[in-house]
Amino acid sequence: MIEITSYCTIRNGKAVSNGKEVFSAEGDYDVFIKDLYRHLKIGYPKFFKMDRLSKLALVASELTLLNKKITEDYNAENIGIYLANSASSLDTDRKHQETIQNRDDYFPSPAIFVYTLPNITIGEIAIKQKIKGPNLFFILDKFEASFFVDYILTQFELNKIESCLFGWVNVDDDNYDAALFLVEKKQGICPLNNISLESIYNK
Amino acid sequence: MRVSIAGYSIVSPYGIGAEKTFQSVLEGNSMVQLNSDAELSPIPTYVSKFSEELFETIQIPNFTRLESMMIKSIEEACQQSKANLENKNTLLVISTTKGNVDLLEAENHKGFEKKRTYLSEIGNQIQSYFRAQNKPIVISNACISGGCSIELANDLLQTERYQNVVVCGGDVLSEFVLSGFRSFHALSDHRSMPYDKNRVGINLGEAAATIVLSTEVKSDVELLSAASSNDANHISGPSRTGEGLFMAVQNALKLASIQPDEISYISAHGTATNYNDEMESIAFGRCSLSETPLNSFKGYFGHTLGAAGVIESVMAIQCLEQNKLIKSLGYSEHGVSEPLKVIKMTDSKELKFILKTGSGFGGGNNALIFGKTDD
Repeated sequence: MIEITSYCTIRNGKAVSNGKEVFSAEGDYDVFIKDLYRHLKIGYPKFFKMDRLSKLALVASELTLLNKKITEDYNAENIGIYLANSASSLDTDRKHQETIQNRDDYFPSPAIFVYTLPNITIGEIAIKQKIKGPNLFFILDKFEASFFVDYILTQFELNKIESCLFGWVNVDDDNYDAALFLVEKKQGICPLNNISLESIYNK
Repeated sequence: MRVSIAGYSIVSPYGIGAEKTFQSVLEGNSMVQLNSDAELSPIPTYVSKFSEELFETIQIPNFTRLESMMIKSIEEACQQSKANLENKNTLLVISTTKGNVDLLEAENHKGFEKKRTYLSEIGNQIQSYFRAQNKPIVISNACISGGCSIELANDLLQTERYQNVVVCGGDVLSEFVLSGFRSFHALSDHRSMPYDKNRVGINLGEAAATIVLSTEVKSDVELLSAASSNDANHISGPSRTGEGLFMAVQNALKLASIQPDEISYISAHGTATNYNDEMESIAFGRCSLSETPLNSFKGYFGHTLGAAGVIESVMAIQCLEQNKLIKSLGYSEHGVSEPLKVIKMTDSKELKFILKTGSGFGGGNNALIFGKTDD
């Protein structure tokens, strides 16, 4: 039995946890994500140093793991993190590019450059949630339920993990979209299959 | 399920072909040179870059620099292994850290559409070039992308999703990445010196490399295990205790059912930054691998990011096939706190099992074990 035991979606000014709307606000992404962070009382000042993509990933991980104690239930090294998106780190890549576009105004910064890697999102989640298992960042054209389901099942089949956090975290200019899922080998909200994943994602 | 190495290739400043590259590395040649191209960097920098003459033979019209390198490399490896991407049982995995990042820098994306700056588009372009039956999977996991892609291939073969997986890793040299590493003070102002007392940082390089893994064909070398972990410690610095790398190596040893003293050679990450090399020495010490001959290939190719794990695996596999230990270029005076048996002279030695490791930004660590086929 491999089931989704918790999930969240964050998009269009709304945060939804296990089907229930927990927060909604007007305004652009940068304001919205900070408001959501405060609403969830995350209390993690490093959040403010993160780029837009990592902010989304971190808040989504908090929302998914709300009321969960996965690092007590499993060894940290047996929990995987598998994320995907379509824009990689392009949102921050463009910012780093601006800092080097002009030789007379050349100011590349390590604080920006470090976020020009999509898997930094995984690193940020791993640090905050104390998860140490296998991790992988996939780039896909769009959210693909069957891709996730099949891959996650291979990881369980091979006994590489006992649980994992997986899903979609994308930021591209004004567009942002997160859908994160916790999967465990126990009765949950719904089984891990294409139909349930698609219906949650498209809700 | 036994996973064989059915073929491989390297397309790098050394030229086209893994054997040719291996020969040149055996002779001690490095591709890392001082480059004064002002478009690449405001100040001259040591990098490993294709010569224009060589790249002309690789460039394919309407494909980007990276896609052209990758296509050339995939073609070579598929010819050698008889893998055919048109088959339903064959998958392509693409490993890249920054993709077509050079298009971001240029006015109007060098004439390409904006969508070519998206990493998944590289997969789509290469899929259409080879008329590949399956949609390629694109992985971007910083410096361990290559090793992680080989692990992904192993997982998909072990669970019988495919019979052949072609893993291609590649990245281009760009002002984007050079300027970023320079802002970190992580670039070396001479050829990099992994594990040496006087090391000051990395050299960057560009290349593509491909490895074909198969459960369908048999070969002399197999991938025995693959494992990865996360430090959960810092996004841009490795763990001081080497915990993550230690865990990845332990898991790989366990999965391969072999003891540390059975490993006869380690192809390590060895970026020549202060922190990375130091962390590796601690992790290998904890793994009882301090006495195992070890090298870094970074002094030859530079750090090729998404290609690194694949290129270095291809080099390590050739070491295994030819029973060679290759000098870790740039090392003379031991400069890490724990003992390591860094290879000082290229030599011959009977090898059976070898370990390939990588660690990178985001806290990721990866370990692969290759071995000679028994029968």
